[in-house]
Amino acid sequence: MKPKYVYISFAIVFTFFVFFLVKRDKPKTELTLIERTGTINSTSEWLNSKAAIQKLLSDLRRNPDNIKSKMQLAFAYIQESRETGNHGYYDKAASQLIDEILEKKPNDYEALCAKATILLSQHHFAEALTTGNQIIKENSHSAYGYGVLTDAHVELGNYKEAIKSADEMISKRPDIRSYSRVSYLREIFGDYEGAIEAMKMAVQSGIPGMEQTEWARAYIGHLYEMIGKYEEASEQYQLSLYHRPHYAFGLAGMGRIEKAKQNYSEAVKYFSNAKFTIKDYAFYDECADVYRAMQKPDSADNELREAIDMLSAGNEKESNSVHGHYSDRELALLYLKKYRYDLALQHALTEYNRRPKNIDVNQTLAWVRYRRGEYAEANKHIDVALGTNSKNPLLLFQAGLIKSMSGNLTEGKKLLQQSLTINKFISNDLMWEAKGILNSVKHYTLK
Amino acid sequence: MQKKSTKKSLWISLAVVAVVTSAIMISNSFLDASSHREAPLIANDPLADNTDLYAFRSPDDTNSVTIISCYVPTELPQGGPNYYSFGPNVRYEVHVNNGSSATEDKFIYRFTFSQMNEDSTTFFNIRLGKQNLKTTYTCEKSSDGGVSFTTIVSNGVVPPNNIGPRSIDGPVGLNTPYSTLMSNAVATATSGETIFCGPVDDPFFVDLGGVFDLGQTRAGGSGVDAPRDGLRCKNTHAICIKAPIASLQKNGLSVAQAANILDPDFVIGVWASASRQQIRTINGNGTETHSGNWVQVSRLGMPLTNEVVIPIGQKDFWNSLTPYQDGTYFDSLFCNPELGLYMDNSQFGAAVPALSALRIQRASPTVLGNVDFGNGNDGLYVLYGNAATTGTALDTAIFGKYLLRDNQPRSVDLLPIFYTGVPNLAPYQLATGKTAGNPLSPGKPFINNFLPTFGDMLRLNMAVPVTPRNSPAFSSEGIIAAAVSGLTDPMYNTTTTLEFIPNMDGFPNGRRLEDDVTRIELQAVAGAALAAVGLFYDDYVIGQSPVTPNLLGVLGYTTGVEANDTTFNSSFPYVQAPWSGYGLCAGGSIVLSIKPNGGLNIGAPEMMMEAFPNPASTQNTIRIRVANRANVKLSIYDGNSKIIAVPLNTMKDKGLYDIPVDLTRFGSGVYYAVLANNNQTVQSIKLVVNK
Repeated sequence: MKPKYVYISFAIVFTFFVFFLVKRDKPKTELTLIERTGTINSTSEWLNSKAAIQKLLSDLRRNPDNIKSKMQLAFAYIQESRETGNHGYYDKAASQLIDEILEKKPNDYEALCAKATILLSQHHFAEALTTGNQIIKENSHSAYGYGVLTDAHVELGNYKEAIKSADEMISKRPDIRSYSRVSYLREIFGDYEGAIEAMKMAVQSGIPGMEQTEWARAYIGHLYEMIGKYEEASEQYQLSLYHRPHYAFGLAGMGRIEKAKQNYSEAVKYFSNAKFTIKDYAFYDECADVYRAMQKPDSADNELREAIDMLSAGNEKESNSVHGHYSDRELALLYLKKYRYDLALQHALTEYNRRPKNIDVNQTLAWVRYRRGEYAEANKHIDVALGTNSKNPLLLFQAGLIKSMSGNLTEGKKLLQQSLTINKFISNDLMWEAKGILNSVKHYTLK
Repeated sequence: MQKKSTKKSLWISLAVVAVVTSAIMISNSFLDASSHREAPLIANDPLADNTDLYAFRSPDDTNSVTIISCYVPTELPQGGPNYYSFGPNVRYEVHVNNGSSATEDKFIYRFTFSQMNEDSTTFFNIRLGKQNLKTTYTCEKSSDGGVSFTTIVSNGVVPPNNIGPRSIDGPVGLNTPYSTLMSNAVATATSGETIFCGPVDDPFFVDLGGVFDLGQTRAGGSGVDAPRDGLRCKNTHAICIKAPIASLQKNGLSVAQAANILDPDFVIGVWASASRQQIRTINGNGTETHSGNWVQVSRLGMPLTNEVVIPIGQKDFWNSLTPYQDGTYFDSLFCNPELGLYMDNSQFGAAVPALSALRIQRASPTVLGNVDFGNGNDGLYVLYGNAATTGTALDTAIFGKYLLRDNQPRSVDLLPIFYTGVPNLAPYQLATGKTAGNPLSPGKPFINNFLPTFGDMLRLNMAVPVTPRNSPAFSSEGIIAAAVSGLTDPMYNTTTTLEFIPNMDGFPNGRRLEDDVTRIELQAVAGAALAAVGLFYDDYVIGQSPVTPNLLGVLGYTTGVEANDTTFNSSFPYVQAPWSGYGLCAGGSIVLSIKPNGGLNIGAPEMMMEAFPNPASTQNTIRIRVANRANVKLSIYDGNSKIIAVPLNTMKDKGLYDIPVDLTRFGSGVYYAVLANNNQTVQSIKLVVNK
């Protein structure tokens, strides 16, 4: 053998050896609990969660094969993900534990429930649907399984199936989980009154002060906002803050109320507090809107950059990984605000290719197309977005503009009228856009 | 590319424009709010969570039976601002079967609650005689299996939560002692029952952390890991009904008219439930209705069935059924109980050291050979169709086809205890008087709560006399204590005559507030009932004393928590007033559930503390429990989050430490003690200093 080949062979063997050693010796990282920051780190709930999680971690250090502790820790991390908004970290931590369980017990009911929940959080809806079906196959009486199916079908745009699953779920177990899903479906099918009623039932079946309950209560506020009832919305947000002080979604809700009153400084304070509590991109996004209303474009851009960075960290680096989060729709909307229509389209299309039947995805893509002046394409997607007869005032307003610009003035006018009847407080930007259209019509000026 | 206006513009009506121009401008960004905030999938429903059920002959009014159904687990006394109550959208029911039908209840008591605010100007629950979230109830009764209901209590009063002395006793509060509020809330139904609904001390007692940590109870531990009543200082909400026995008995007979103290016509089966209303997403015609079916979301008959026996994945299904629908869905779970694996050395007997005293019979000596009750074995199925069973409960012409199952050894004891009640027939008579080694021979009667409805109910023979609570013979061991007396006490073990043995009125013949059901059930899983009827433990030699080390091990077993953390009252509603939010019990920690389908997943924490007295004026003591060696740091903060003292910051071995805290330099006010385990904060409690 020539020396050259000897060296090459040696190098290959050495490389494999090193690789083997590195791989073999690489210690498994224990994904432990991260200290909460902000105001939620001083609650008794946090202290108790922390004690419970530390006990579970301690159990697992002593007995790494304790499946029960592993499962409980996974669910604790899933909950912590909700509480802190740190989905990237905790979803990964929970996934790691659940994967270990499923490796040993592939049909374990609880592990499948946890896996589906994580997949939904990561927006891996097709996989969540598969897992949901697996749960039902294992246990046809599981309200949890039907909850997973409801969420996955909604997100994939299978609305008839979603309704069927939600009705099945609530027949198994009427509670905060099923009432809130019925509420959401009523909302997207255009029944705000029924949605509010169902969400109120959800709140009444939850524990006041717990995150889930206050999420539902804050969502009632959101529903009131949608139909322009800001006083009622404010009441719900304040109630959520009373029952769960510093609750980020209560704070953000109050931020929107203050913004509606044009108390922009107060609004920024609320959003800042919400951000301090939970690092969620949406609060940065909403804060950017307030800064724009305050004529502070640089501050707005900073907020948007933060929001994009947060989502991109999970999306671009890991979009194809098992534990990655899909955030393309959200990124598309953020890039629209940054006037980066090329990137907006790229992300909107990525999401559309995943979920071509989902109304939100189609609304997003339609709006991106509209911004690009591609009215025919926009029209095609806005028709899909209107498919559930949603009364979302922004959707209707956008649809009105798209229809108008694509030549269907009668329909456009009707949709705009409908939108403003539901909620007259529509976006400042969009109103001026309507003005632009209107000003091009002779004899008319928007005051 | 930014969209520009084109000639394809439109008119918008003046009306629309008028609306537009007067509008408050608001961003649309909320419509894109975080996509991560999906509706919850993990949540509990405590208001509809049926925690415990009791049924017993009233000790001070023996012509009546008292049924107590508890809801809302582990309420903290200092629950503000979110004090629990009965849920306004929940239908609470107590069901009674008296043997008149095997397929439906005879009586159903239905309770619905509503709330009102008397003073909406305050966030306080109670102020100046006014009460917010004041709860009242309606009780309806059905005597025809739920076909029709009649209101028997209207506008019944639910006492407020026991918030504290200022709110309850004080002139700025309700100005009334809590005991008076409770007694004022006792109502007499138009049909004769006495009824109380309200917050009470949780009468159940159990080492939650131990029992639910895979049965690793902590009796006889090091003293560091001492057993603790997980429901100590916790409140719950109780529905209490005292009904005349004659009103429940299927022929309207009074207890004096019973044929004997085990008269089978005096058996009732009791179960309780909570239901929520189903709603539809969208109706076919595009509208929705909110008046859907009521779906049962919780039910309870025998204690711990739901918690210990029913698998998590089946809980929704189990909770939605009535006992009449249990059928064959779940009975196999009792025939090969998971807990049996931890009481069997050939299985996982070594896995739970705390259960080491509990070993099931793998070779119970009988004249017909040894009987193996290990999971998956035949147990007494070997007798199926055997002539020796003639005339006994195991006769295939009687109940043998139900009770004898191949590979399901506990179908002869746990199954009837939980699903049918136990008849007064051999072999279900005490071994007293039986031929040695022959459990099928007649023995001394000690139970008959047989009610063949094939489902989970709490079965009570109302004819069995009451053991006075102040009797020296009274035992929280219930029927097990009665069996021990019947087997070993010369007062009872010389004849097979039916006679009252103290505690025959105890669990599982009904359930008294004092009964230690956790211990009794664990002993039953370990084969205590089998031993009572002559299927003794493996170390028994036929003809010799059955009181063997194995039997003594089972009888001596304890979870370490054998009584409630407070007394019971001697008169209705018997349960104790709820703990005050301002008393010694206040300051505990919230129990969190992190499981998808409820359940208390409370592990014993590595480190914890309590302070006493609290409030205090010059000194208090902080007791810290350390489970494993760690750096323990105790810091005291004032109301401005400023550290004002660090009474402890050092390595500590496992143990209990009482740390005195000098409060002389503290002014009146609220302070916080914060405990850190290796620099990780694990607990904080509020300290109140009153000068």
